[in-house]
Amino acid sequence: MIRMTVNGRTFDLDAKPHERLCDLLRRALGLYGVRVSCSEGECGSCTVIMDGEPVTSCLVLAMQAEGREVVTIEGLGSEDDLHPIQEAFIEEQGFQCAFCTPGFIMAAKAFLDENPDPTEAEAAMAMSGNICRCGAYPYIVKSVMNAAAKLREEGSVSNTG
Amino acid sequence: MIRQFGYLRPDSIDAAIVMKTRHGERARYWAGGTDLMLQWRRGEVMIDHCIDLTHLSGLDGIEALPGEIRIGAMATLDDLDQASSMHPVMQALGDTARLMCTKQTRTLATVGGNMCNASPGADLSPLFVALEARCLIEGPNGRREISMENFLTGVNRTALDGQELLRAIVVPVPQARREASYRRVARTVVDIALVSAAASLTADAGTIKDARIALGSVAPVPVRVTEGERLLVGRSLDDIDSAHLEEVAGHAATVARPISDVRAGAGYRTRMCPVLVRRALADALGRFGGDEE
Ligand SMILES: Cc1cc2nc3c(=O)[nH]c(=O)nc-3n(C[C@H](O)[C@H](O)[C@H](O)COP(=O)(O)OP(=O)(O)OC[C@H]3O[C@@H](n4cnc5c(N)ncnc54)[C@H](O)[C@@H]3O)c2cc1C
Ligand code: FES
Ligand code: FES
Repeated sequence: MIRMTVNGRTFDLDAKPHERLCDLLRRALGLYGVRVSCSEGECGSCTVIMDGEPVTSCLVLAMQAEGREVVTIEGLGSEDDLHPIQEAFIEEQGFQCAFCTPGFIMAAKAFLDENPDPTEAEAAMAMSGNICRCGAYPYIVKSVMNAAAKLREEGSVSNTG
Repeated sequence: MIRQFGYLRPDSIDAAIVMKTRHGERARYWAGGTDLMLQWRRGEVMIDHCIDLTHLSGLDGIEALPGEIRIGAMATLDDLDQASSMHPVMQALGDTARLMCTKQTRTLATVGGNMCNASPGADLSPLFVALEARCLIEGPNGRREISMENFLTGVNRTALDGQELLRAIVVPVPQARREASYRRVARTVVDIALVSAAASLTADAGTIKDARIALGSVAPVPVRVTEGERLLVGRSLDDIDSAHLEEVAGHAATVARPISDVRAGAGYRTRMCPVLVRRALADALGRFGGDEE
């Protein structure tokens, strides 16, 4: 049994010695927002946030995540209460089939936590670890810029409020 | 085929070495796993036991010590990026780290793993060679230290014997000012280098005291451009013009022994060597300008 915090809740999970973090999250917790595509670290669709940093969960052993705090797309917002980045992706149509979207949003979340006021070029560079087969890239960059503005606004409201 | 392995978690460096000694060749030290996971899943390496180094303390961290900077083997490429401002030599390493992998794999991939995997295309190796880096190695018979040039011995081969573990990489910080740069060509921003060059220049009172140039991806291990280096030593920084750089860089094409593969032909790689050497030298020279200490 290994203990880890996933989306704010602590779990004791029965991980196999060679099991990948992406597989454990899907198998044991049903977190199917963790999309596994290339399994080679290239496409970013399996991106989750571990201890505040974005990681490709297809390259992490579940055992390596013991004691860590993991956040997946399911931990960001809910259907009734979307996260500002999710809202921004809908507003800007930052997807077509949306297979890649959870990975992009988690990468964007980690990026905007570090750089709340990016240039468009910085946002595009920050998304270069994710692949979108539908080619929604221009809209994805717009979504990230929109999300940045939303989060800044939210920040300034909560600071004064 | 269903493949699996046992998982071992050492609580000290010594314990890790004992595990490796006991379980032998098919036990592997597991760092970021960004190379190992792929190699294992593709069946390129057989693993019976994974010796996980990620929960060990004492192997990570980047520390400025008198006369040197010590980079723990488990420091990630992202850590290297974040440590850019520590020193001019770290600037070049940080800039290089930022070129490598993707953000969400840089947070996993370690500096030690990049060296121990010993790919001819590993971006950090030419720069570490140009910076005279040394490897701190720990094994069943104690510690030893060797230069990066001697550590890298071939394609996916290092001077580590079966049980030894790379503990840290030490980058010397000379008294005189040192500036370095790494340049590469790759098909896309997230691709591996087709050919690359690193240059490091050390100057005192405006005169070059030491010059090191190393090429990457054009031989099993980084190749020094010693003839070119010799032309730089003793020169005044202000005297170096483009004709001179051209002459130095010209020697790069003669030492390269590249292969042709799906990504680039040997001819292209050879012709790019002088170009990249010139760019790396120009960067390093440029960094001396303006903000003299
Ligand atoms: C998407 C992607 C992009 C990449 N892009 C680049 C790139 O641009 N440039 C580049 O150079 N590389 C690139 N790589 C390759 C890889 O990320 C690096 O080589 C990385 O630094 C390896 O480190 P690791 O910690 O993941 O090593 P691991 O996979 O954990 O280990 C690699 C090897 O080193 C051994 N090892 C690791 N640490 C030690 C130690 N302390 N002592 C003894 N042996 C040890 C392991 O047993 C294994 O054999 C890329 C990889 C991916 C997946
Ligand atoms: S599935 Fe993990 S990066 Fe593609
Ligand atoms: S929206 Fe289809 S892969 Fe990106």
